[in-house]
Amino acid sequence: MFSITNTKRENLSAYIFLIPTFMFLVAFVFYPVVSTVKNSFYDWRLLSINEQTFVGIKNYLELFKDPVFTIILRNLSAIFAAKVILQVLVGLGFAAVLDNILSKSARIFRVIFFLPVVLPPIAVGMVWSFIFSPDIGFIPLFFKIIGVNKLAIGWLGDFDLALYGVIIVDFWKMVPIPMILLLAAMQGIPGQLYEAGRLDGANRWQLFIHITMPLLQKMVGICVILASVDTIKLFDIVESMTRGGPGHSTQTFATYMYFTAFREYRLGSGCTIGVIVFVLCFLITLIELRIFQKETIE
Amino acid sequence: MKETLLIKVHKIKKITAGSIIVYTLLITAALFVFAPIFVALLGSFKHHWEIFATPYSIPKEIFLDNYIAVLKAGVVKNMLNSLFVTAVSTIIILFISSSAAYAFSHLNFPGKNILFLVAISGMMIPVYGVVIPMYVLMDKFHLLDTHLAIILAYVSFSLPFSILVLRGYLSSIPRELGEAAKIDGCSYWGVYWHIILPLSRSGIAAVLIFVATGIWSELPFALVLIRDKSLMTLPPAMLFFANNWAIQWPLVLAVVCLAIAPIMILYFLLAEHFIKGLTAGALKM
Repeated sequence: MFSITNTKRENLSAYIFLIPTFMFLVAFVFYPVVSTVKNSFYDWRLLSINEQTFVGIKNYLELFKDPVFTIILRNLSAIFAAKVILQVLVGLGFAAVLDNILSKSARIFRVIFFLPVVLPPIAVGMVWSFIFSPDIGFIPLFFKIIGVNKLAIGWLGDFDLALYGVIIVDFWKMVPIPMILLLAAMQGIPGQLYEAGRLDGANRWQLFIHITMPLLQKMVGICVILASVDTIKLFDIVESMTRGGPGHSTQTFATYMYFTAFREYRLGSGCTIGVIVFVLCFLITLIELRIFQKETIE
Repeated sequence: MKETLLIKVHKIKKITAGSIIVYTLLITAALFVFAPIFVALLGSFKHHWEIFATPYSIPKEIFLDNYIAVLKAGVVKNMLNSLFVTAVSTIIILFISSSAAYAFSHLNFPGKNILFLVAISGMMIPVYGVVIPMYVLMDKFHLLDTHLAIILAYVSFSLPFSILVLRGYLSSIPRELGEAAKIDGCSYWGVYWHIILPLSRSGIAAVLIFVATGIWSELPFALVLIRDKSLMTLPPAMLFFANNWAIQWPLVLAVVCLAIAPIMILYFLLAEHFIKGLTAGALKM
């Protein structure tokens, strides 16, 4: 009798501890998600917010035929490729460097390098807009001086260059994340492994390839997942630098959703984009977890 | 991170050609990090004409009018709004996520694993995917243009990450402590309040700093749920200023400097905690 009461008491206490959490989550996370999905099937305008007309999958068909949709896919693929290749690789490289120098210097540099991550993206976007701006931006000026006139214009106003501007700024802000994560993983590798390698005559580079790299697989996988989720979530930097422009050349799902819902006032279509994003996020996470669970087993 | 007495065999200790290259690389990277901030700082003290003539030189005189104009435009009010919203949200998150993390790490109950997965699944949901229903929801409850609206949103979306990380931290606190206390008549709440919370202070601090930074910089909800300029937090206000002032760069850069100053100061004081918040989350995965 005594033990049953105890268990029941434990269960009840646990549920009580969890009530606030689930109150918030259900009301402000799960319900809105369901609502977004439901509303994606309706024609729903901001100006007549209480009226909805059921249109089935019309919003989806319209979205898939929308040329901006293709542009978004192209943009996000480019951004994702850049994030994985540039950010994770460069992050890995710098992590390796930092792991190999004395810990006091390493700590100082680590603190310095992590700074861009904590700065508000809107501020970052604004100052980089200045750096890319026509005539006085540092980057166009630089190219003017070295004579590459094609790049000596305002980057963010150019249909082709604007996306590169976004990629560079995202790099500046986000590359410290894989760097710090990989460094943390590296620092968890026991020194004895390296000693053993040294005794076998391995040089620094061989130590890195044969000891460090295999043990980092899991963290590299995590960094890739974070990079992909980040790509889909990309909003603040783009919105503060280009708003998805010029034209729609730098639209992401996030910025286009804002545009559709709050500037074109088409809430139903906005929700459709939201659903696409949910599905993508979910799929990507699943696929990547699969892939790299397999790898670590091997 | 443990400081081991044994220095890793492979650390570079001597000054070699290799180490010179390495440190040059690192210093260059550090300059790359500071360059935009430095540029903003220089530009914010310039006259309008000066920034077009010599954008990257040291200003001829410290010209404060830009900052005065920015302050007059109400930036301080926006910063105070941000501070208020961040503080309130963070405190609420502290209690809700730590109590949930306690339940997940120290208590056993039916459905524990499923509920945990559900709770942290919220992390996968991009914020902007739900702004539309949030807007409508807040509209229905007449909460548009209130701080409460965004506080509710911020708490909800910060809970999954916080719970995930804190559960990891709390599970390293031995259950025996709680059990001993319960034998002495302590309730579960008592264990939470008097034992768990004090012991996990540093972990909680790291997570909260991470969360607070995100809330301070948050744009999507703040932009959509608050239209009243005097109630706006800093990020949407800055967007508003950027659009208003367009190419009046000294003004824009002054706003940027004001916005990042408090964070930078806080960051350099507490840097290790910021970083810990991030690595804690990832290493637990």
